[in-house]
Amino acid sequence: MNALSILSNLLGKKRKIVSIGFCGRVNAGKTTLANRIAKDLSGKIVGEVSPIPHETRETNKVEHVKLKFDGKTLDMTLVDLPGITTKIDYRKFMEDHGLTKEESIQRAKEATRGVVEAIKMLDEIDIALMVLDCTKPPFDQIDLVIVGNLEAKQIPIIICANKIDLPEADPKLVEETFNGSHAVIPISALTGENIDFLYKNIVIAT
Amino acid sequence: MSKLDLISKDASEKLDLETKFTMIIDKVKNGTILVLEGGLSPEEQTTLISRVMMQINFEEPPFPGLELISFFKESSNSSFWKRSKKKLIFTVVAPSSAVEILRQDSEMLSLLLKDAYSQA
Repeated sequence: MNALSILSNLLGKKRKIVSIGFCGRVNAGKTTLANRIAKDLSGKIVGEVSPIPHETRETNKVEHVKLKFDGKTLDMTLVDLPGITTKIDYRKFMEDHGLTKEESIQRAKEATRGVVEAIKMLDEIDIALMVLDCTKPPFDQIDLVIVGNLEAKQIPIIICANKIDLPEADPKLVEETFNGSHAVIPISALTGENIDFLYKNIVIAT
Repeated sequence: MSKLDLISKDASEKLDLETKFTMIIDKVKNGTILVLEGGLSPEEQTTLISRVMMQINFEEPPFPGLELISFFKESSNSSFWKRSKKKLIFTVVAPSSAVEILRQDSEMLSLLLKDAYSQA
């Protein structure tokens, strides 16, 4: 480390890479949002999306995604976490999505490892984008557990009330639920609606 | 028919975390619904979820995991989330798909007990 970088560190001017974690329940739209931001800012894709639960079964990252907002440039690592759940029943993949037994068991095995990895990764992120499907009530136990953990670790949380493009979306209920505790951003990861407001809040959180 | 065990806060606090998690998972695998007075903290719940994930079983009888539901003390604040920062009263741990929440607010937790997916 040369004298200039030591001085820069001491003055707090060293540009930090910020890890942005996409957290939440299964099929809340975490990967869709991560892809939206990654593609918007770097032209890259974080991961595949699917209507079948547990499509993201391992942590995916895109590094050096640069967010320029209000004269600031943020160097971000986007960390797309597998969805967290308390149960994974391979029979649901067969019944609801037509997978074979072998495919279902394989998917379930990988998903269980993904949940464990996602819980470990909660320690590794600097800012959490807590992605909620606002077509569903925001009182799910998993949401409470994840947010409670992030709060205990003092990690800044931005609640993304996702899927506002759907007619049954109720972002107001999400806002009322987390009223005053965390920033709540109504958003559509699919269409990109309100994405600039999310970028502004990410910059504020840093 | 479902079995329900109420575990007092004193009894729960006497157990170290390993013993507590082992006890919870063993009981749920046997089809018991547990009500833990004092509840499980968010950190305890994520640790429990990790343990459960490592025990999910795909052979017969399968063990697909469990349900976790916590109940918090009522607060005058209108925000549900702020209420969760108040006192945790109890946590229900049940076999997967054995309970469905009918009502969950500051005054009542109402659960419908169902036949769980076949377990032990």
